Amino acid sequence: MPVYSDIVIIGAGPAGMSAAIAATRCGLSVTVLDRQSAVGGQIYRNIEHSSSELQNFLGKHYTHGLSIAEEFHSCPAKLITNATVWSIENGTVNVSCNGAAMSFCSTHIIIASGAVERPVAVSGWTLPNVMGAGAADLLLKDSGLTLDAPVIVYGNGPLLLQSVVHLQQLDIPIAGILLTASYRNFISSLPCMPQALMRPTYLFEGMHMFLKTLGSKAPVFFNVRDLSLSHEDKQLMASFSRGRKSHSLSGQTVLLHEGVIPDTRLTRLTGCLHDWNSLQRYWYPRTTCWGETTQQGVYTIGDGAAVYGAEAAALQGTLAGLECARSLKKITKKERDKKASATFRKLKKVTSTKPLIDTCFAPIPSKLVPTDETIVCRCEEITAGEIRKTIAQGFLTPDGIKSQLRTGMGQCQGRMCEQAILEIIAQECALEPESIPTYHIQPPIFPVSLGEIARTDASSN
Amino acid sequence: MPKAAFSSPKTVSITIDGVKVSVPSGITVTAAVMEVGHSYIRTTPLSGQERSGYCQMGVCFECLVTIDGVPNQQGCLVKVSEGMQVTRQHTAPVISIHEGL
Repeated sequence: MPVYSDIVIIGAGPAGMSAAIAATRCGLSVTVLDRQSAVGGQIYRNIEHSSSELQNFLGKHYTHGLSIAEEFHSCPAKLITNATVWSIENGTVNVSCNGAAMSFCSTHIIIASGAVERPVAVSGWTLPNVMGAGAADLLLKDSGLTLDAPVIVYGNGPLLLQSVVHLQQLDIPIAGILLTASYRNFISSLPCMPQALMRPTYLFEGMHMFLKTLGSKAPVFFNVRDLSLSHEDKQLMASFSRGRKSHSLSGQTVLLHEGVIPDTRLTRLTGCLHDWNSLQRYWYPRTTCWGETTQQGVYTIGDGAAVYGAEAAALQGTLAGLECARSLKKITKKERDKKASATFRKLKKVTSTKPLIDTCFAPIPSKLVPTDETIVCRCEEITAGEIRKTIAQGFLTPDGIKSQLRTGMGQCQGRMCEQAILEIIAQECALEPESIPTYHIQPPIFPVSLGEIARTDASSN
Repeated sequence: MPKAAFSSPKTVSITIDGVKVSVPSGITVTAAVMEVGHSYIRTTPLSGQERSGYCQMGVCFECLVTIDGVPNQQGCLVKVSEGMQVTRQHTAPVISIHEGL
């Protein structure tokens, strides 16, 4: 039998933990599921087990997670770690936990599964030691591991700048910083500046990171395009163009980054409506200010709902927790609004920088479209050229291409290729990705053994 | 090779491809494979390309390893533990049809 609680929360990052804290305070029973072995999500990954040296190095934006985790552990929510949610059906959440099948049910499900780094499909991105810039920071947080130097950094986005600053602070040689942004990004973001002044410290920190990047000992290139990576003499070679000139650099590690996008697997699985963010080029679930989606009883908060960062995620968590308490009649509408008013004020402040960040670090669409020789589907080793040929034959949707080429049918289930395939179709058909259907998401959304599925059915009957 | 800059001074013994190694405790299996100097984590079943972890957060499925006999584990989501046997996967692992039933 599935285990019942008033709310099931998926994800124990800042959003999920804060929702659990707020909901249990109102007297609700809460179950929190997370894929990792400890709380924190990606932003506070390994927060409870990282060394004090690492915590000092990463600073207060990381260690803030400690106080959230502490508060969370002192609340009566039930935490289940190593729990991979592979389906949600009619209020039942099916989970694979260390090879065992478990089910949970509730009338209120809060999806707080966070964001992922946008996969940057460039020629040679499948080579060993090529990874996301965020991934490099996760290696540092989780394992205290620093990279093989020299490092080549490519792309755009605040996390990329953060990675550069971390490399500088760790004295890891950088071979080159290749930024895909052009000065136009900065000009078009200027009108968003006055609003962003509501958050001066954040702005100052951002500027500081940017200036440190510019002041790097390594060469910095703007408006870079056509990056191609290859492996030569035990080194990674990066060839790229800037203006009319071609350049090449060599290094041991390449970090790629073009921003962070919501992980919409679960909200799509549950049939929620999504909208397209045309600046940051990602789909995000449509929600009310309390996090409720277009599906009754399904809520989504944090970076999985739209990328606002950890501070906003925690505040959204509080709001969703309060709204669930109202919906389950533990508090009145009046009490909810009274408790939420300060949180809304804070949320307004921490989201004030979002238009500036989204515009300033907007990816340039043409640079997200892979060249013909680039492997787009890493699992099935399908190139952009093969995908273009299939589009020319009249297969104009990701699912149509999948039926012909097996893109998205490997172990990652399309997580790594979907964005690039959308961009290729958009370019080939001269459409906005908004008008292109995404992959149809169906359970199991993570690989599980048939035995586990069989045991789940037995336990729910 | 990648260095352990902030890890615990405590170590655990594990085997990677049958070779006994000592790695900092608390790190992930993916990090352990990198830390001991392996240049890749697996080869692909289709063409034998060498791959290593791209995302470190359980999304890309590039760091699949066999841990204590169970194939296709995401190494970036599992922490090392004393005596753990890690095997890098070359080509497709053979999975018994009886497994898990």
